[in-house]
Amino acid sequence: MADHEKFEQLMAIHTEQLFRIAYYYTKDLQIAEDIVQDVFIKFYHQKHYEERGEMKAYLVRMTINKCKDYLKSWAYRKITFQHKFFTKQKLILQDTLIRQDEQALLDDAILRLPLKPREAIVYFYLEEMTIKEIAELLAIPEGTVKSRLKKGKELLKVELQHIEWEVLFHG
Amino acid sequence: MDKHTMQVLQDVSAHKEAIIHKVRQQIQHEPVMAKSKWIYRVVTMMITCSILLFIAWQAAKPMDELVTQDEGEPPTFTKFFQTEVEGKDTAYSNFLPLANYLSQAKHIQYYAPLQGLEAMQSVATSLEDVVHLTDPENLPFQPNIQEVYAVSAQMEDGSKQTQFQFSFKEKSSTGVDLQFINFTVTNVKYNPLASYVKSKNMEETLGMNVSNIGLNFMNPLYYREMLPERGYLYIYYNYDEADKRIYQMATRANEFYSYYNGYVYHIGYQLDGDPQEVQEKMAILARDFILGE
Repeated sequence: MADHEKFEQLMAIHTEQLFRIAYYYTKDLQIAEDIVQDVFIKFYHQKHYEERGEMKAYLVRMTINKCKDYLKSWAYRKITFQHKFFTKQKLILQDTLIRQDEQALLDDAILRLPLKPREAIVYFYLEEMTIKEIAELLAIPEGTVKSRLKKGKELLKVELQHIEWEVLFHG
Repeated sequence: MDKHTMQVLQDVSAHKEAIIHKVRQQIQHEPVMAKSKWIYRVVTMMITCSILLFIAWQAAKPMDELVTQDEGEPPTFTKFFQTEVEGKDTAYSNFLPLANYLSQAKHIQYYAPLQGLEAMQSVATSLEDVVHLTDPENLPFQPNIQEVYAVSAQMEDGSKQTQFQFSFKEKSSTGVDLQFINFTVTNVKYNPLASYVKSKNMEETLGMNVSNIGLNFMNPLYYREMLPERGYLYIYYNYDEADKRIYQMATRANEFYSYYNGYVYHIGYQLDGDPQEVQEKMAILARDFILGE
């Protein structure tokens, strides 16, 4: 199989998951698209990379790093600032509507979590990764993953007091 | 437990298509991009190398550094100046205390001056690129005396210093210097101008008029005009043939002062004619003497 075909296949397999991961960090569909696009282009230029069965983990790590770079960037801070001060009223109205949909409310609560517990929650519950896989991906001890999961769940419980969500209360 | 998927991420096929489409587009442009990046890299490398070469060149040929190299010390002057004579003190400028650097001198040795243009040229040649002797025809007056002096001394810091005075004079029959130009060059261990800051207050208080007319784009050339009502001394070497001794002639003069490549240049002149015209000619001669341009 030619390199070009391999690359096409790679994109076909991994794009969706990388896009979801980028969204968990950036909370913005357009930015998530741009980040995944950058990841693939960077990967395409790294011709020295050889597949040793770690392709998925490698691409996920690249995506996470790009997302974290973005979160530290001035562009992101500017967007956050504008969001905070210019769309406050609009958000309140939207929140009221979203409350009618428990699932949307849960999504919103997850995305509002601080980054570290959010990472643990989304990888464990949404991407169905094991504690060990999360620990390897984030390069942290398994114990740390567990404590972040615990903290994430506690924060979600506070956020979602009036909702009974089986994963959180019985997981 | 069922897998939870965020509502907004339940169908991401449109995003997936968009991403793949954009990546394909980018990759199609990749050869052009790679070529331009390569050009940028080459240009950046060239600029970096040029800057490094310039810095290396500057480091190899210091123009105005604080500490000069020992190569500023001329070692072969005794080949020409073989007759040691009596003497006392050293020549300096009264207006610039900086020029008084030789006052620290110990164990000063004086030599009988060498007469004639040929002797001057020989000494100038031995100093290599330090001095560039002016053809007497280019001088603004007709000298009847052309001589070169040498005075060497041990400095307080242990360095050895030699001072050469290239003199063109119109001497009267009674021995008075009617007109003169003295080009004095002294090797120094430190640049005395490095810490020199022209003080406007000092100039106003003392009535001095010191201006920097510039030796080249990096180094200053200070000029002080002789003022008839002010008695700032200009001291240069003269020779008493009868007593076989060097003495200091104290007078007033227009003065140039500069530092270049480990040497202090002090040029004093007293000439007839329009002061402005003479000053302009002398500025050219001073630069020529130092830089050889």
